[in-house]
Amino acid sequence: MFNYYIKLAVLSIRRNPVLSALMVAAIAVGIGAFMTMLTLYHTMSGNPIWWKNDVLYVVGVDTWDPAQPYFEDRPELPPEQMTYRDAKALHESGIPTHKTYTFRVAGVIEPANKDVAPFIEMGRMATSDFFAMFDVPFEYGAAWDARADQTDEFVTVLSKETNDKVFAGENSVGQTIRIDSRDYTVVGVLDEWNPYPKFYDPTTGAFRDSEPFYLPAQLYETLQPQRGGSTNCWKMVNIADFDAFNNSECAWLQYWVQLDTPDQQARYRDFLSAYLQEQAELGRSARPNQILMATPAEWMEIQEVVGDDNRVLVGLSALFLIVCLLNTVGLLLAKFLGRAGEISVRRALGASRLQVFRQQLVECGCIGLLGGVFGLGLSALGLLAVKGMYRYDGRLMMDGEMLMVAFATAVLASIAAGLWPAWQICRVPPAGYLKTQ
Amino acid sequence: MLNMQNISKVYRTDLVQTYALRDFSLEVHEGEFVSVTGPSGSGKTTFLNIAGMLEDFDGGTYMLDGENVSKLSDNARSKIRNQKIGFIFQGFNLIPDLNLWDNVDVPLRYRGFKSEERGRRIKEALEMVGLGSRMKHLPSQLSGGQQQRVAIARAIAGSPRVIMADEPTGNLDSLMARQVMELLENINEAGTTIIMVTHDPELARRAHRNVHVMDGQVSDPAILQQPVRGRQAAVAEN
Amino acid sequence: MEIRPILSAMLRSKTGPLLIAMQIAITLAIVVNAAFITDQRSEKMGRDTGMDDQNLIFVGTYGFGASYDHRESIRQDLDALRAMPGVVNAAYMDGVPLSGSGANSGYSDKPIAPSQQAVTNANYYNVDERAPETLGLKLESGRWFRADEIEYRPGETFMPESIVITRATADGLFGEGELAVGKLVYDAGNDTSRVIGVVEHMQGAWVNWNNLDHVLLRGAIAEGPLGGYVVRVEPGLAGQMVAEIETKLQEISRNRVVIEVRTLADHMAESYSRDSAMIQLLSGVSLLLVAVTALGIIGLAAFNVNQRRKQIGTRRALGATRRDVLRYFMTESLLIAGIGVLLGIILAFLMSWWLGTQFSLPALDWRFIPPAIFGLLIISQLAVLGPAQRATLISPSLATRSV
Repeated sequence: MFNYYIKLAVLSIRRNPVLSALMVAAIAVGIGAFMTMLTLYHTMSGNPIWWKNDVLYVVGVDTWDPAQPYFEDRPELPPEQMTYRDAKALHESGIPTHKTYTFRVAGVIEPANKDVAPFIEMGRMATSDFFAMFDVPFEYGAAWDARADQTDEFVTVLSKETNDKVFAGENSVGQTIRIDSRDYTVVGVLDEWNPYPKFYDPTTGAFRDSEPFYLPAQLYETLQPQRGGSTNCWKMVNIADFDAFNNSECAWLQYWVQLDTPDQQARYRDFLSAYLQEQAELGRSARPNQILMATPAEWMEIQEVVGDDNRVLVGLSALFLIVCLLNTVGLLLAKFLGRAGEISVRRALGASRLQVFRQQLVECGCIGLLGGVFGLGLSALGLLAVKGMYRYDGRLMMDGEMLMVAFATAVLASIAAGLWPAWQICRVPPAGYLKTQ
Repeated sequence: MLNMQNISKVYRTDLVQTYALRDFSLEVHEGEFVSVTGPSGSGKTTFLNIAGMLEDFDGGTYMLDGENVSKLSDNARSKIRNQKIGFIFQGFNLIPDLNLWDNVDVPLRYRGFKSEERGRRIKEALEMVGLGSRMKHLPSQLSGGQQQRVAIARAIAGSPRVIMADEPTGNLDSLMARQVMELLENINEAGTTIIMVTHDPELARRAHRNVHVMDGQVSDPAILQQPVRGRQAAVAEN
Repeated sequence: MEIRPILSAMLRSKTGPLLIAMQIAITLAIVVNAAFITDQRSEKMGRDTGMDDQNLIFVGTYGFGASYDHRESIRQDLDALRAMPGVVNAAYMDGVPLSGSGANSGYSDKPIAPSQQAVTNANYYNVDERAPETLGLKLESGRWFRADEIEYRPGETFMPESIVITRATADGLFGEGELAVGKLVYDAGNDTSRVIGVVEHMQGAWVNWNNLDHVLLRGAIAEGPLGGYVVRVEPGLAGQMVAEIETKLQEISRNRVVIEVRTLADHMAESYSRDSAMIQLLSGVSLLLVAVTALGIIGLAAFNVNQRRKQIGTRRALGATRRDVLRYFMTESLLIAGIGVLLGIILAFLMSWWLGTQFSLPALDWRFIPPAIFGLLIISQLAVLGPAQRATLISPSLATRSV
């Protein structure tokens, strides 16, 4: 019987091309706008490391200004980044399965090929655990080994893009690359890796690409590099004095740990408290209860990666979709009532109310499906435009989940829109319109 | 076959009640060809609608094919219409965007027949009305008489027990009307009961028996219990 | 005119008109709120920067290698830039206003204890003597830097001898409208600088910062690998000169990479990208919404005209003129739109209230409502015009025909 309804729906759509086109257009525009906003929101609020969300934690300890909290509107939170001395001290802990302190540095890359002009990039310093804990994929080689976290080794991991640019995409493991007037041995080349949002460091733009090269954080004191992230200080310090700066209360590193069991998590929390307690006793400004141990999802929330604007837009576009559906209800009502005669005949010939009702709903579903298809096209265009507007580096496209949502919304919405008209039409009395035809 | 006892039907508005049928009683036997006549507004169409289970009634009992159908659900009534009753209307009531085949197919679909069964019945029915070669045509490509023949094919395709015809020749010229009438007579001879509402005395006379309706009642109760066998006898009686 | 029969006709078939009224109501509510938000955002984006913002290009450089001489490199670069045709002026400046990245620090009008909070925060830049003029700043009082005043020191946080501050910074430090020239400014370590001039107005780095116009210009060049320049070009040339400047600078030295050359307008566009995206998206949705609603009105009217062909024919036969028929449909549409608009006003305030509680947006300004009401009524009238026109063409003879 379903096939029969489909056949009738196709016939009906072809009989009223203008009315049908209007309905399809209304649903397509509604779905297009709604899915554009929803996909934007979904992407922005996505968690690119969801599978490890319950074991990864960004860590913060509050050694901030006693006179005022770091976040004025959320005084219970410590600073979003960490001081160098705190990071080094916390790094002594053996509790985490993995731990890393990481930050951005500038580096001029001088390709061996003199025809390619030197170019500056914002690279990242980290410990080797960075790659393991964030499941960073490698195309060639691997992360540097733990030795390079202990003693200076001039090794580097390149992004796929950098490797393409400098080594023409070949396996460059073992080759040297000149960064900021020093030669580094390439130990690994990443596969495509651009998590959006950039959960491990949203402070310099949550929708920016990942760094083009990675150096062992161990080299920081030797290189004294130009730092590239944001630095926040509450105590005066001469930033030009390297040692003074490293001992200062300036927060500028990101600190991440992987804690696999609840026991580890509890012990680490205690460890952080004890550390702050100890620092307070040593006379530093420290609030022992102000600890940040946030999962990537919580971290994105704190960083307000998704703006209020995006929520407003999702809401407004949902209302817009509702208006489009009200429109469709009106058009469907017009269409169905114009068909009262035929329905009357069908009823006389033995169609039950339910069968008539189903026939109408199948037709609504078909219109919804068509609207969904066109709506997807429109939202692809919409996303392209939005990507430009937001200067978003990554891919802004519907994933499988969003595609399902789009079709489900289109079909369910149009069936919902069809319920009232279909109910009206299936109540047409079988004898009602037979005489007048 | 069909037995109505004291059926009444009231149309109500805020101000007035109108009796369309009042204590209407009629029995039709298996295989009969009954014509129903009466002036406009007498209730003959209401009778046909109730007999065809297109409309509810307010009082009385109605037995169809040995089953009391007085208080059936809408669903059950749809089923009976579909399986036991064939309709022929004055305005043909073909569905304009379906071709002949699909039009005849409509009741068979709701019947739930398998595809081959439907195909066989559609072909048979259309061939019977002489339109076997035009199955892919749309109703608008046919003359009125041809359209009514399609409607007849649609009515008989499901092998109903009874055919209800409402002014089946009302929109046709006399030649076509005669063809349609002959078709109905053939169907009746093959064993299907036919109840036909008409205002044409000529046609009415060709039925086995004529029932005259006036003011919502059968006007001459004497006719009620007089089954007459054979067309010749009916004609002779008139 | 004949409102009562129209009303009773509407009451008999409620659904269609009700649907349209609801569409108009939601449309009004969304459009009004969208316009309100849009207006606020464009006001935010349209704030005076205090600079010649359309003709400025900012350059960032990074030196490397043993042979790199920072001070000499800056001198060379600036000479080359000034020599370029189309360039009005060029100066050293180590940051880009309105770019979202910069430095700020707390300052006070007197020495403070270590645990004390600074009197105000300001966004600071190291500049040379030509920078104020190049930026196009207006001096309120005092004077600009002299060339011999510009200090060259490592680091960026020392307090130089002389600073120029904006009026807003002066107000924050010394009080509303107070004289600032000649006074001392203290940093958190109680080092001091003297104010030699006050700028009428200038915006700093972060467009969403409350102290956006708290800027402090330091007469200093910070030693290190980083160089930064502000270039002012002839009006209209900013876009095309970006590439020329980049090429020029790259020619000068291979021990220095050009990090980026971008117009201030481009930096601003990026900083305001969320706001401008909001404006564009809200306007887009509003436009589509009005279009969809108009189509809905047309659809319903066309359906109504079709359904009432016979009735219209009868009316015509009974003496109604074409004008009467037209007026019937126009009045009907006006009534429906009127109901929708009334509902919409309530809905608009509800929506504004909800947005306020959820996203701390300011309450809706009622002045946005009348134009929206007027606009929607006009649109609903225009939308119904086509179908109504067709209704006037229905022949009176239809009354006697049975279709």
